[in-house]
Amino acid sequence: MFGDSNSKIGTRELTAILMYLLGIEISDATPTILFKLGKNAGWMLPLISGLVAFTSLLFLLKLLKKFKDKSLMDIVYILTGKYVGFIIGIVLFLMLLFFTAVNSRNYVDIINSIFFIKTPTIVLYIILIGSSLFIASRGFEAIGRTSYITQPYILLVVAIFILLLWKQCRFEYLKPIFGAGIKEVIKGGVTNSSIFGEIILISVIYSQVRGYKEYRFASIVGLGFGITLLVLFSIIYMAVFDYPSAVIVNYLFPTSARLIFVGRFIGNLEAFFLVFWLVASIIRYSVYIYLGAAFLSYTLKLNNVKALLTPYAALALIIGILPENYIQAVEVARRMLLSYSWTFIYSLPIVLFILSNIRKKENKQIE
Amino acid sequence: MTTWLVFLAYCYISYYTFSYSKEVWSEGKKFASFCIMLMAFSLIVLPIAVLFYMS
Repeated sequence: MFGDSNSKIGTRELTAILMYLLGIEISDATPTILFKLGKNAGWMLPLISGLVAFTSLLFLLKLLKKFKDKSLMDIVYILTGKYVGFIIGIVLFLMLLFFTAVNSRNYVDIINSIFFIKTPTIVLYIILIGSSLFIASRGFEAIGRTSYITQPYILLVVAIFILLLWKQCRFEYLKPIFGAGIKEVIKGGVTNSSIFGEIILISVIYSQVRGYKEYRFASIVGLGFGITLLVLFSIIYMAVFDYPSAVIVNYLFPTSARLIFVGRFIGNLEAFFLVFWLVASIIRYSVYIYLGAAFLSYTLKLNNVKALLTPYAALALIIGILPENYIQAVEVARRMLLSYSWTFIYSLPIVLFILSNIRKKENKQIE
Repeated sequence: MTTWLVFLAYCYISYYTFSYSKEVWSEGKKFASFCIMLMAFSLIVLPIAVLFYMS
């Protein structure tokens, strides 16, 4: 359906993409899940999750440096062979497909229940996925440039949002500092660490980045930004809503946007934030769609990623429409995905690193 | 009406996916082609189940 483009992206574009991928989680159900596990200390969970993600990222960077121009799927095939490599590729593809479906349904539910109550869910879903597919169809370079161009405005709006909400914050709500207890905080942080799983999955497009140095810088800065933003917003949400209200309120971002008051003449500020939030969401799902299609394409050893974009987006949409309500989509599907996928995503670079070292030793022995 | 329009769109996407799988088959990548055919098939079955039976 779409033509091909082979241009590569640089540090600025990749950093912007990762900022969107990891940073926007402040506006979906992620903080609610964190508060359910850590209670008042829900803001500490992203720190633990970030540490797990960072450790795995270090192994991945070592691998990428070693294999030079090879992307994640190439390395998987080289080190594990064609049968195991195919299974790993398909599992990663299915994981990403369900991530796309469940997360996008989360966003559609927010738009549906807060902003466009009368519009059918499927119509909103088609608009969200259709817009994301359009950006994805222009190629990864276009996604990178769109992210880079829009990034300053989104960051400015985030800063305005924090400043305006600051008056509503009561920081004594953060006590007790360790919320559900240190053990629960650490356990919750580790088991939900796949909230930053995209940092590993994005390495499937490594061959489309200019070089290793650019990729290393962008991934570390992007992950750092994602962790900082999620910690900051979790603190703000807790300081605004307190526990247990922060768990009961399902849509923390739009609800807190409604609490902003700047005077009698400027009302309904949530509509202003909605525009920027939608732009960020569309960019995020365009990356998801591209990554999913890339995973399938590289797993099947095809070179045409763009031919698989539309089927992937259509499949994600129809799976996403399956849950009847928000509770099914978020409480069951998303929490299950977060709890089970982290082991596979983060252990993969470590296992591959060990395998590459074993191969290296074997080759030396043969020589 | 919306349901039927969505279903028609899915039929077209499924047809497009199937023709791509034929293209891959002609390149000699038969297993990859089979996987894409499976995808095309699920793009017809899933919408029928979701749009007409589960909603």
